[in-house]
Amino acid sequence: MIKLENVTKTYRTQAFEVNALRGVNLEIEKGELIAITGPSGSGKSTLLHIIGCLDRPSGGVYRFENSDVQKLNDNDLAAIRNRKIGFVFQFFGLLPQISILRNLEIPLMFAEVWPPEKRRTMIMDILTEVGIANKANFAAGDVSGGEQQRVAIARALINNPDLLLTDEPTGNLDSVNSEKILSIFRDLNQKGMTVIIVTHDEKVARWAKRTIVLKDGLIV
Amino acid sequence: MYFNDYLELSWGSITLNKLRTFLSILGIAIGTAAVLSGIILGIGNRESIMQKLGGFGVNNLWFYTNVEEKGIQPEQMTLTYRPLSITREDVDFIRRNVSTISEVAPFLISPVFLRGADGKYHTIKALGLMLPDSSLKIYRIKLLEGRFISDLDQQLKEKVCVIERSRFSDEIFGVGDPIGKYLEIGQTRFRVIGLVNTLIYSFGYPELLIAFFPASSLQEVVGTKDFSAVNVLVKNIPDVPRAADQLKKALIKRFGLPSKFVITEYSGYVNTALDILNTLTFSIIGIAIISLTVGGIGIMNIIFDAVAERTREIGVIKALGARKREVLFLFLIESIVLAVIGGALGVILSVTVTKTAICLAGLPCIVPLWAVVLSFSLSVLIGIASGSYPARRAAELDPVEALRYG
Ligand SMILES: Nc1ncnc2c1ncn2[C@@H]1O[C@H](COP(=O)(O)OP(=O)(O)OP(=O)(O)O)[C@@H](O)[C@H]1O
Ligand SMILES: [Mg+2]
Repeated sequence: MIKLENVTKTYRTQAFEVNALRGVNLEIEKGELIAITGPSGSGKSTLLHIIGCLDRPSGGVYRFENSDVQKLNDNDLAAIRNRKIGFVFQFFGLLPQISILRNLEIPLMFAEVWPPEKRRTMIMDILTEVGIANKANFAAGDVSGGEQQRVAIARALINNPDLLLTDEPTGNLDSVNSEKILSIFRDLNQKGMTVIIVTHDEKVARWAKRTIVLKDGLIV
Repeated sequence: MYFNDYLELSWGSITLNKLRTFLSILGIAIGTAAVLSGIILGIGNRESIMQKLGGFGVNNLWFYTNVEEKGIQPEQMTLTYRPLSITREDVDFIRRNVSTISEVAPFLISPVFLRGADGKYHTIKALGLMLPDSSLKIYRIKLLEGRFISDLDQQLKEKVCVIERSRFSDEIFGVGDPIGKYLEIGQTRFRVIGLVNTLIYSFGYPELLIAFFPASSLQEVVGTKDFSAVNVLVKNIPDVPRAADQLKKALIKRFGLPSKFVITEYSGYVNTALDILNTLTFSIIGIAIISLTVGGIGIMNIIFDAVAERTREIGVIKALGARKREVLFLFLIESIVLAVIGGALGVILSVTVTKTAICLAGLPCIVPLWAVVLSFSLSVLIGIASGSYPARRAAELDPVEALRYG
């Protein structure tokens, strides 16, 4: 499903260059449950952004479902992000002032799901699945961190993607909430979804079926 | 994305951030109001100056028979020697065919020897009017007492007259009220029915008193069926040269012979007046451009800020699958909505506040439709144009970069 060959990523600022990834080779099959760990600054988020088609590699080849991402245009990538990949950001990336309902509706708008009643059903179904259907009309910023995390997951899942990418999903949560989130991921994976989790947490890393460790932009 | 969703999302963010929305609309409204108010004020000034120039007869034309054609030596100021035969139908024809004029008034002028209420004999200038109402407008006559000559007086050849207030009128009628007293011309007695202000037109012989008569009754007394000349009032001073041209063509069409009539401007100052008006027009345009620049820059600033503030949000929606075009449209629709609301408020603001202020200041307060359309559409255009640059920038934002922002 995913294949990285010698992928590099260099960030250039005015003052200096950062080699966030320095030749990553990685292959991920459909249905895997993978944890990516490594020290802070080792390039975990960068790698996840590239896998999620949010960013393009500086060098090397990245194939998503057999197509070379470098050869796809911005609209193709937007469509992939919208329909094939669900992304849960490190700091949730919700629009805090608008309702949870509307937060989840936005990806459906870009996917041109119509009519609005259908969207509503889809949203309520997924919110029920992650257990916060009762807060649908709350502003996203007004619910607890654990609930925001679940909203973010629900939003990532709304277009029924093949691949779920999460960046530190348990980083801001207590152990009870972490357990709940992880069990959601396990359920999704059991239904056939490929799940990649970036984490600092040793327990999470051991819990995953496969663990990849990054250090200084390389897999070790 | 469906159009409905664009509106939903744009409207959502417009209503969400009330302060930002308020400031954007305020900026656009003030920009629009500045432009429109500048134009209204300029036009008010121009109009007021036009009215004053009109008081000097700058917007008057007149025509009379070209006497040299007939081999008669023109005798200055004794207009009865240039008889002009003109009918009501001719007047109507001219009015129909010359679009730039508002009044056409034939008159007969003749010095008459009369016996005043004091029993003594005097020479005055008698002015016989075919169309008293038009003459009233052309000569800017202000009635001081009594009434003016009417169409009915003209039809019925009433023996009535209206005199001009001057020291001569005091001389002829003594200190008492002249209304109801009589002037005798030959055997005919004319009752004085009204007193008017001193005219700016002297028709020659400025030392002589002017008295107005129904043309029909004066013609009878003087023994003619003709008139002396025709006064024409041009609607707008800048149209005077064009009106003269149109008038010439209409006269040829009606009477034949290109050189039958002489058309002249009443005032020698038409060109000066046109210069003054042009200067004013230019200053209005200048004011409008300056206001527009100031207003436009305000609009740009506010919209730029609004986009910068939302970088993170743009990152989020791009990560969720928004295409460039979709981000662009979302922001464009927002600035269109803001610009339209702001522009409309600006129009309302300047029409109410500025117009009222100008009216109260005693200047002509006119709000021409073109000025409303111009200022509104210009600010909407600037709103959209200044929205489109940051919208484009937003669309180009790298999602990862945008997400890191703030
Ligand atoms: N947009 C950017 N511009 C410049 N440098 C960047 C940018 N994004 C990341 N970096 C740098 O690239 C390196 C890798 O960053 P990355 O965010 O991938 O690390 P990480 O493993 O996710 O760290 P953490 O565990 O703290 O989230 C870091 O040195 C970081 O400073
Ligand atoms: Mg990270």
